[in-house]
Amino acid sequence: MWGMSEPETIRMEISSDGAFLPSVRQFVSDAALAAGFCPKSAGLAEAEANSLWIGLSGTAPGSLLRLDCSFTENNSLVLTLSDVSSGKVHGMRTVRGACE
Amino acid sequence: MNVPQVSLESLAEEPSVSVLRLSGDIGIEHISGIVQRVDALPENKRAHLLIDLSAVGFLSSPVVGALMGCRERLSRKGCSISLLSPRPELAEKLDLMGVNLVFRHYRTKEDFLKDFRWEAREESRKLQLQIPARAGYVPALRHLISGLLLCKGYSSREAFVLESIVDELSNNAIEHGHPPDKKFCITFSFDKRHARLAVTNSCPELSPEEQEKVRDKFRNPRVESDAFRGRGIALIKKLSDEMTFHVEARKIQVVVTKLREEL
Repeated sequence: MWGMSEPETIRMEISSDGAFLPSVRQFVSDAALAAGFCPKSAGLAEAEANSLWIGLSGTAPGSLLRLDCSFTENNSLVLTLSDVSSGKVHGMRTVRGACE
Repeated sequence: MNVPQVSLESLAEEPSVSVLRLSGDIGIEHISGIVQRVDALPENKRAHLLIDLSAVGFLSSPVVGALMGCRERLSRKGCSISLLSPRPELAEKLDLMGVNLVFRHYRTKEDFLKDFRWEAREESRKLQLQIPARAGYVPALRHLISGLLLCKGYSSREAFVLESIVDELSNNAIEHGHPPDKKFCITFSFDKRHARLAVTNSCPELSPEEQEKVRDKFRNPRVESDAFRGRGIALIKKLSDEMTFHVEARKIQVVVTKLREEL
């Protein structure tokens, strides 16, 4: 991946509002492209972020979600969605960065 | 099938919200009970009626018509009204009747509460980001901030202004901050009335003179007429309602507040 000599992590903490899902999904895709992923892999990353978020069941109003996007040295993106206050991990997904 | 029932109670989490709970098959014979209860609701601009349809098997067309009438009368009192958890078959029928165009409806009580507290309580939404200090990520940030604002009813113009501010501040943090930890932080919160954005970066140690020099750049941004760059701070000051800054030996933070123009 261009310019990336070591793993990079974007940590996002965001109010759990269902209306934010399209923007969060788009952010994951945009960030993956910026990290050097091909468009197809960025699209997959977006789909994985979507599936993590919609898998949440009834988060409490006012709660914060944490989404870690970790770009690893082996050209992968690891997405981890968790609850900020309890630390409970809701799910984790890995996406390979380069299209075959 | 359960015996049809109609009841009205307050929502425990939000006492200004009344819940009209219907269950079973609701037909024409239940209209008077529904209308009596709804019309007895007191005048209150912050009140809301939530109609819980989770236990309803069938809702006849005259009842839907009566609910539309209730909505009309409640809106004159300043109250709003929405539907909660219709079963999929009922939701499909209500959509065919165009009810979804008249009433907002929510899948869960939590979804309703989030929306209600944003609208009526002016609850804020928050975003915090720790992001690697690389210019390549800035367009993603712009889209994110803009998308969050647009989906909560901010206009395109308002979103674009905040987008431009986050762009300038992020590029400054990356380009001029040279953060030794190679990352910077964004803290963004907004409600129906205003948005607040803070961009923070670490920096190589600044002497007291250097700190003062940075402060001076924030206080008195100079724009050279023939220069292509260096307009960021002046632009942010122009676009925002308030800009404050905190310069320390190893940290710089800029905080911008922007009030809504169009409410």
